[in-house]
Formats: sequence, structure tokens, C-alpha cells
Amino acid sequence: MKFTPRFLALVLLTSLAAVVARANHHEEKHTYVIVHGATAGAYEWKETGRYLEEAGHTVYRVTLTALGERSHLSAVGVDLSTHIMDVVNTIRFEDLHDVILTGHSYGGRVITGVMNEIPERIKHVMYFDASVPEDGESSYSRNGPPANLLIKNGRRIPEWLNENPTTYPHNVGQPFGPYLEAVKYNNPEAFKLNVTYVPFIAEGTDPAERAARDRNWQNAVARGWTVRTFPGSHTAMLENPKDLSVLMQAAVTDTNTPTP
Amino acid sequence: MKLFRLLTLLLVACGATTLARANHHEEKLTFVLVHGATAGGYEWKETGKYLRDEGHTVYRVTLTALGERSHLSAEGVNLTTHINDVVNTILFEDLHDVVLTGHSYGGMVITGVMDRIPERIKHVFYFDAAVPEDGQSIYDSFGGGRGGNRPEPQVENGRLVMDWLPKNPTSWPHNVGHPIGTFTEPVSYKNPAALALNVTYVPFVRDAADETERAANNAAWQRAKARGWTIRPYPGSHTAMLETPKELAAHILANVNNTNAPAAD
Repeated sequence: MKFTPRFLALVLLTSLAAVVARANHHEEKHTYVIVHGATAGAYEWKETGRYLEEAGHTVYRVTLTALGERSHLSAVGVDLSTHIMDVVNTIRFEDLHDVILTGHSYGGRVITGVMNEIPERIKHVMYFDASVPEDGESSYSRNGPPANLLIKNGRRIPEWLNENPTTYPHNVGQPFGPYLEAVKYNNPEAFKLNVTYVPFIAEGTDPAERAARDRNWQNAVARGWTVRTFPGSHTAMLENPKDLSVLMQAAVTDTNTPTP
Repeated sequence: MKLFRLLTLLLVACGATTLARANHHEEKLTFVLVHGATAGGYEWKETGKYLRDEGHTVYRVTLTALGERSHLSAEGVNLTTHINDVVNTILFEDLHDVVLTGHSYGGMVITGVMDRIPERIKHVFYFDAAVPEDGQSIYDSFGGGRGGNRPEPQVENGRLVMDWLPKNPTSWPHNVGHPIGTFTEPVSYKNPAALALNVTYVPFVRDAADETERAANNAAWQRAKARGWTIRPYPGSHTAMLETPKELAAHILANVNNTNAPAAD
């Protein structure tokens, strides 16, 4: 191979293009605030967050009080407002703006409260296989008491939970207070936020059938939110974090459709 | 041929940049930063950003009942709570070879973390921080109260409320009253593996006179020296990380490989 000026110029141009692409990346950099689900912790979003960071974005994975690395804190007295404040205060104390706010599972209730509290800080919202509550609704008022309800020290202990874990990370009993507290979703500014609803569709299940019976999905459609399905179980972020991070970047520009 | 030479030079420069970037990634470190009393992880945001810009991973832990966790009650919060905040972050995030740093009161917290999980820690930095002996609380280490002609601090709802704190803050971030239970609980520091960790003690010094005076009279400084820790003063006030975060990040990176001198007996 001859190192002619033309060849070198080509290589140089390619290098410059890469530099420019990197610079553009920085201009479109987003700030993600990611909220996990019941019994879990921010660790469930570590890999997805890493892919987002590698793409140049800033990622905050908030662990809710009495869960994950905050599970040494008592669950007694912890309610939905506590978890909403965990997220609101992260946004305020870190001075975050134009936040891409995401919630998984129970985290949908938390981010609904955050939207209602500080809509002016939020650019886009994503519900991942998450609860989409109505104003004034609690998990308990919608679903009634959970099956085989066992409460210890303010925590609901699911049947599958290992109560004496020796490895990390691990699930812990979910504070029961948040099941009972109604969420506020009555701020007109919160209603205007663009939202993407992302149901995780397990292999062999029919999205149409799910859409027909899933109240969360129906609420999303009724509100004009964009629906993007993603393949996987209820914890698809553990199965396919890279592709989920790609969806999280693509969905940022989704806009709601007008609702009647 | 001038153009050829120029292009070659530029190409080599681009290649060198790429190589430097690749090397950076190989030496990537994981930092866990612990703030001081009344503060929050936000005080280390800028320093953390500069470390991230260099390719490192940064966890800024906010201690319970402070900063963005200040909506949590301070009643019943003690030093063990704060040590658990950091230990559990390291365990749940599965962090290894951690560079652990503590500022001010955070020195009490990281001392307890070192004692609990020394096997997860690669290096420790004390930034203008408390350096307690085994079995000491920060009050034992520094002496309680403020003395002089300043009013005695008040305790409200389990928090020590200093006279300089904002009364009803309406802007963020802001300092809040500090959980009093964390000031009275003694720390454990006797695990032989913790005592063997390499530590850099970084006093923030205002000027040469301040440095000389504190080297001679400051208990934390003298303990650091007696333990054989590397001492690397840094210019600034007690919150120097807010004044020159970029230079502090460089100071941190320049000192992560320090090794202790044999301890004096």
C-alpha cells in the first residue's frame, strides 16, 4: 500500500468525520433518571445505564428508600411519597433539567408522582412494563390486597423471596406503605408531557390480547402516548440491556397523538 | 512535499490520540465519593464529572437524611447507617478495586467502610477529613460543640442545626441539619486488612503558614503520618472541591498509586 497524499487525505478525513460525529453526540446528550420496580434496586438497570453512558448520555439510577443498597433503612413509615421524593430530590439537588424519566413496573407509580410534582424538569417519560395509575388511585384501590399477603416490619414478603440472602445484589421485601397511598396525577403540565409506553412482550404471548386486557396499556392509549413494544419477560432489561438502551435513545423524540 | 509531511504529522497525531484514549480505558478506575456533614453527593458533582471525562466510573453516594435524601427522618440515623449506605452501594453494584474517598465528616464513614469490606478497596483518600482512631466518635476525635463566641448548635428532630444553615431553603442544592446520631457513635477500625490499605491524606491548606501549623498541631494529620499514609496537601478552603474541581480530579488521579511508608511505632 502506497502512502500517497490522496490516501493520507482520505484517512485524515475519516478521522475528522469521527471527531465531528463525537462532537455531535455531545450536543444531543440526554440526562436519564431511571427508576426501578418493587423489591428491586437500581442495580437492575446497571447494564442498560452503562450502554447509555457509553453513548455519551448522563445516567442517574435512583434506588428507592428501603430497597437495594438502601435496604438497611427501615420500611416502616415509607410510603409512595417517600419514593417520589427520592426521585424529585435527586433531580433538584443535582440540578437536572430536560430529564428523560423512566420507570419500571411499580416505578410507574413513582414517576407518575414525579411528573405531577416537577413537570417543568422533564423532557420525556418512558414506562417500562409499568403501572400507569389514574389520579387518586393506589395499587391497593386498583388491585385489592395482593395474593398471599405476608407483611413483616412494614414490608410485603412475596412467596418467592429469599429472606436470608447471602449474595448481592438481591431482592428484598417491598415497603407496604406505597401499596396503600394514592398517587396525584392532576397537574395539567404533567398531562402535556410526551410519554412512551413500553410493554415487554414475552415470547409466545400475543400483544393484541394483552392490549385488550391490560389497564396500563389502555390508559396509555387513551392518553395518546406512543406505544412501543419490546420483546422479553417482565425484567427484559436484564435480558437485553443493549437493545433496550437503543430504544431509550430512539423514543426520546416520540410525541403524543391528540386525544379526544 | 509539504502537504504529504503535514498530512503524515496530522495522521500520527490522530493515531496518538486514539492510542491515549485506548490506554485510558485500560486503566479505568471505580471511584466511590463520600461527602461531609450537612452536604450531599452534589458537592462532588463537578469533580466527579472530570473523573468521568477521563473514562473512570464514579459513584457519589448521598448519606441518609442529607442532600437528596434529606426528606428522610434523621431520627435513629447513626454512623452505622451511613457506613451501610456506602457498603451496600459497593455490594449491590458489585464494585471491586474501589478508590474510596471521604471529605470532612466523610472520613468517619470511609474509616468504617474500610473496616467492613477492605477486600473491595484499592486505595483510600481522606480529603480534609476526620481520621479517627478505633473506638472514637467524631466528637471524641474533634471535641463536641463549637466553643468561642458562636452560639451552641441546636438539635431539632434528631438533627444538629448549625447557626449558619439556611432556615427555610427555597433553592437547591442546600445544606441541611446533620443527623446527631452519626456524631456520637464510635467507629470500628481494627481489621488488619483495613490497616494495610494504601491511603493518601489530602489536607486542604490555605497557605504555607496554614500547612506548617496544621502539620505540627492537627491530630488527623499526625495520625495519618504515624500510620505511614502518603500526605499530599491541596490548596484551598475546607470545600476546595467546589473551588477547583478539575485540578482536584487531576490531584486524585496523580495519587491513586501511592503506597504507605512503614508505619512509625
